[in-house]
Amino acid sequence: MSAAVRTVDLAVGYKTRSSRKVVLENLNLSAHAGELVCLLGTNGTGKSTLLRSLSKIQPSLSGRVEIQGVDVQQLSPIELARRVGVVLTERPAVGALTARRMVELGRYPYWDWSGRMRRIDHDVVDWAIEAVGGAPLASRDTMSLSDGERQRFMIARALAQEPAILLLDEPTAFLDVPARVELMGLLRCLAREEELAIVVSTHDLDLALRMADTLWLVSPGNRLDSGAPEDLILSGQLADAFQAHAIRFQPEERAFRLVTDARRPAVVRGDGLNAVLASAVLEREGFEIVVSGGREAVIVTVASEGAWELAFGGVHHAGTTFASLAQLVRTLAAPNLRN
Amino acid sequence: MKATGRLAVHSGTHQGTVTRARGRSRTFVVIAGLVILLCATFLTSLAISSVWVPLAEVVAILTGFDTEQTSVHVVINDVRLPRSLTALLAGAALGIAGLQMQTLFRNPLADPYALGIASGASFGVALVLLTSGTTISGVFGSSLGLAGDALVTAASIAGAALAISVVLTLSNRVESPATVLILGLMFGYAAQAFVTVLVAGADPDKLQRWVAWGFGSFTGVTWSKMTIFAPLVVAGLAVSVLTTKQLNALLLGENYAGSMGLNVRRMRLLTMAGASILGGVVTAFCGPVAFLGVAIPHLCRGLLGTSDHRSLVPATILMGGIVALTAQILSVLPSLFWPGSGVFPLNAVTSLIGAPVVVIVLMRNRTGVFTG
Repeated sequence: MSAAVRTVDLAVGYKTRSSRKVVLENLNLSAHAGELVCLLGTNGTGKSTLLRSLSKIQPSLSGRVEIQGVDVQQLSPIELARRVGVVLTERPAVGALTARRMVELGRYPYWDWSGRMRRIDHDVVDWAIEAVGGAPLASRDTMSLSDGERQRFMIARALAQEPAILLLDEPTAFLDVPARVELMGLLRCLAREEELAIVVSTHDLDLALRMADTLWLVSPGNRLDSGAPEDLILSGQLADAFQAHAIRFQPEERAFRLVTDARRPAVVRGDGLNAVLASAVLEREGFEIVVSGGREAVIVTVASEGAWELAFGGVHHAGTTFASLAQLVRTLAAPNLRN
Repeated sequence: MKATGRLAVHSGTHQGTVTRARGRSRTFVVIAGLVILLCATFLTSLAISSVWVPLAEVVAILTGFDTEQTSVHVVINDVRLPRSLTALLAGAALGIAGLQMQTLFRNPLADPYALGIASGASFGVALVLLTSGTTISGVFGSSLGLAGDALVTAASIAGAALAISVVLTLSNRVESPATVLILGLMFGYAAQAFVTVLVAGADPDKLQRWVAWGFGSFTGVTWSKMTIFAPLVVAGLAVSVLTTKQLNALLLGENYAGSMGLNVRRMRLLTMAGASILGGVVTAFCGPVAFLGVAIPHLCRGLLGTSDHRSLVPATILMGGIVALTAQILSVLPSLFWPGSGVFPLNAVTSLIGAPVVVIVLMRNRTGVFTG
């Protein structure tokens, strides 16, 4: 399968008259039709620079970008716009424009000189709005939409270009949690159903690990690793990429955890959600959950609805809320942590 | 084409059709209303001046039924007709140039003079008016073979052209539109500084001519000047009419416009050149007419309820003509009621009467009319 987008020895960065600042180099990446790629990395590692270079908004320093096998330098702006749609971090506030009309702007590369909307243009716009689930909101003014809704219409506008590749720069920033999950779900769905190659930069590690087919992972030292999320977890590259003083990647949970220095063992007995939540409380308070502990271990037994019993050093406590559990273990943990 | 496959599943939704129809009918009503209003103000402006000429007679003279060479005939044909045409064209030009600048710079306060055009022109005019009788203006006048009014016009064009070329040349080297706006502002300050020096050293007679030029006026364009003025304005307006789709793409900013296939640099240059010509030509022939450039696009957005340039551009041309003609009529009213009292300065009328109107329109449209 030939790649929808491919880079060959690409270097991206900034060039002024006197200096050249390379942000990422030796990039040999590819994204295929139907594939959702998540671009991960800490702030300032060049995610936006890479996306802007892929879409030719910013000139690349060396190497080349191929879109469906054609060097982007050979493509006219119109030809490029028919292949690549972008959603940028800038969120233009356009007043007095309906959401539908904004999506119609995506037909720009297909318009004749007058910019008249033909029947086919209207049909594609209808399809694009439907694809992002925006039909009920289409006649609203863009200014009256919520951030999440407007982001959907920005995506619909990019779709109206009928691209083969969709590049999105942090589309989930500023969105609340349900909107983030929905948006990533939408992108995944678009990749599969419309056979699009979609590259999304994001800080949502959890979502990226769940949804992405491929990760492009920017590690410290300007290295970019590419691979399936699970492969990058296994190889430890994901943990390396976000290396920081006080966090540690837990491969089993596919998430980062705060590292606490002195951790005391705790055993949690109980079933289902109650046990999970009790464990969360104890972890937050600096305990390590173990299967069976010795004399120094705290033993918590949870029944339904958060009713708990705690046994430690021969003393028993009981309570009915997780708040009271947290309060208790804080007093237990404190003296011990000081030594 | 990919779309055809997709369309088998999702064919046109009913909702979209309804929205489109509603938007179109409002545009149609507004444009039709503006056309009628423009005709009315145009005829009224021909009828009203220091002497009232009945509308029926005006129409008769215009349509050629009244061929008697009376003094009224001459006044209408050679004084009022060019004056009204000038007002119409100048209003349209300033409105369109303002619209282009506001869209290009995504700034609600941008106007045709944003690139230092008025300052450049006033520098040129100041050089001629304030130094007349001295060697500087003697050299200018004789080398161009011009005198009086024509010299002022030429100096104004030269000053505006200087401003345009400096800002356009520099803007080619900068990325951000905001920087271009600041360049224009800085050029304006520099030109203004020279003007201040000239004003400080000028004698009262010359100063009065200079101040009068600053009032703005539509009366200076004779039929012979019209042969230069009209084609330049029409050419400038044509640029905007032919680039409505590009202006629409720019609503989302230069980066998005580029990603949708617009050659941003070329469009920026074309728009700035077009707006500069419009602003420069009007300043040269009518003086620095204030307010219209900023206000008219806002009025039209308010009336149409859209930032879509396909309806905004024609509406702005019509509205520009209407507002400029109305200002012209109001400025001569005192001479109609109190003969011999002279006229109001045009700039006083446009700003004093126009500003509250714009405030009212903006306050009534709370949804945010501008593309900011």
